[in-house]
Amino acid sequence: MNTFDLNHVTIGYEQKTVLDQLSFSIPHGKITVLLGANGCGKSTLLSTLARQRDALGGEIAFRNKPLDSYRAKEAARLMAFMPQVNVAPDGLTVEQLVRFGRYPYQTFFKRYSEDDERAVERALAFTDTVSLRDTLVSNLSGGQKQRVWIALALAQESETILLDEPTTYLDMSHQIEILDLMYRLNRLEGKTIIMVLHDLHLACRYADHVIALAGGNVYREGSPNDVVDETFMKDVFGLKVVVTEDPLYGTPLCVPYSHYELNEKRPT
Amino acid sequence: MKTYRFRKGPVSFTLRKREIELALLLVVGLLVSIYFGLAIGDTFLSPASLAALFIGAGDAFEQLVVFEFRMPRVLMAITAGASLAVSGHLLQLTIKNELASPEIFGIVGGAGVATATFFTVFSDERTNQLSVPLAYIPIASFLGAIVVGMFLFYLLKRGVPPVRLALVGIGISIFSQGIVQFMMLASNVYRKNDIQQWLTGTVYAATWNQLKIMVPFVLLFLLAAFLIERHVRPLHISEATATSIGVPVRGIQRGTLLLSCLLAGIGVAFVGAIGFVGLMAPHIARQGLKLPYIWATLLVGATIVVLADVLARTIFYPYELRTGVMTAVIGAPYFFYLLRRMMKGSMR
Repeated sequence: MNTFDLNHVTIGYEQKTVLDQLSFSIPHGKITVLLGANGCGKSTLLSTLARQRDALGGEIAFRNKPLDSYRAKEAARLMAFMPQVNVAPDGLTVEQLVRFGRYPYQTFFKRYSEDDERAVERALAFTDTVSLRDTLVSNLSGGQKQRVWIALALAQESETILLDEPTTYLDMSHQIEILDLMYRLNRLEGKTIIMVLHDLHLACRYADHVIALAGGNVYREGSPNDVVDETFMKDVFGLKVVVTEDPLYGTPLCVPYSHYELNEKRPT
Repeated sequence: MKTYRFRKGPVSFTLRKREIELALLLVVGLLVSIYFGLAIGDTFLSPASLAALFIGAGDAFEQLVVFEFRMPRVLMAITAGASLAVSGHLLQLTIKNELASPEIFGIVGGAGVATATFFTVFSDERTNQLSVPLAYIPIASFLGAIVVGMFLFYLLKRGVPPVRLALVGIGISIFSQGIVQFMMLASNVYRKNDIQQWLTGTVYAATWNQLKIMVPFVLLFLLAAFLIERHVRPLHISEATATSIGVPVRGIQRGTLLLSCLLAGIGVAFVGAIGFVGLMAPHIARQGLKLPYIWATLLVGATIVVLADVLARTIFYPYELRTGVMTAVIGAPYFFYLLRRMMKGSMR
């Protein structure tokens, strides 16, 4: 079973088509990473899958049913989306924010049930943010904030989670922390993770499946080892690299050439 | 943080201790200002003598003053204050901007144009009287607000993002000021005065009859606001997050805009454009008291207008200022304070 099946899908804005005639699938229960150069449309694609915008044409199936056949709340119980930029309103505490994730389960009378409470506690525990629950979101550090936004998505208890560059603006240790979290969610909780990542090295390490976009369509897809090689890097990123092996995990590691020799004497 | 849980059958919610305490405080605050509103004036009434009036004691004159003059005006202040405050609250959440208010969105401006047009068109030049009953004015004001509301609604439906809608609103309100100025130039001195009075807004002339018409509408709109509240709150985080957690964002934005216009329209219909309440009240509740809820905004808004009315009639006693002058005196500096805060925020 696939989480998403795209059939001749066109994606973009009113005037401009970004991706045309896309046909591919995103496997269920795996970590899938969308790769591509800046402006290739990977974020637009992700936000289309996350119901943030409508596709211009074609059919998108989510869990074997047309994506637009889901009611908003119904879809929210099955998928959560974390945008790239998240700013909490002033005066909101971590717990208050994470509670919003329970919206798709609530009604006018059933505002905060035991299930809701359990889900929020689990989300806080899983992201290691229990001790921050009464802190204002605006007072958190970058890494903490990111974990809290992930907790919000987790509180939705959806099987699928889509994330747009969850590691941007984070230093390396926090990038690893977030990606480890994704890994645990996938391997321990069986969640399908779909994300856009910029760091190719880490994308190759954590992804089960990568989909590379270039020239308005899918350039190549498959496991990182099958996808990433020197021609791929040339075609997708326009960059000359040497592909070697990650000494720790054996995944592809690209070492790029610079455009200069870089052996000139530095001015002193 | 201390939290109380309530769970019984299909009903479940939580209350935080801090919020209960603040709610009580706000209610007491409103009751105290209502007391001032009923007790202060040409004849001052102690709490005891006011209480006596309520059980039927006290002299007939005091009865008349309190129940026929002061009471409707206090109730009008509460009703208008609550409507304007909740209208501003909904707008601020929907477009995620602290400076949003029915004035900024041009809703009050639309009501102003309609009112000024009404006064100008229905003025009898020979007698200097209005040629139609004064009681029709609220209808004109309300319709003016709704016309602007419909226009904004149409733009929203056409896909104009709510933030840009605020800019359109600013345009509308400047444009409508121009039209109102023109109407004032075109009308005689009496009508000019009438229009000016409406533009400042006052609860001075409130009557029971007005309240009988106004209150059912306000209650209906407030009920709708309470029903839509939990769908609007996620919009304050972001449209993207609201969509992700399952809020039908487009529909909620439209519903909220419509409701804000109805509330603002009814809020200004009988008392005129009492300014800055829709801006201040939600902000005080949300940022000052950390209560981003409709009930808190409503209580703050009602209290502000009741107190503004009390001040307006006592500061220069025996002369009376208009209620809108008082809210502007407090509101304008508050606006600049907010603006400064926002500028600082955006520069960080």
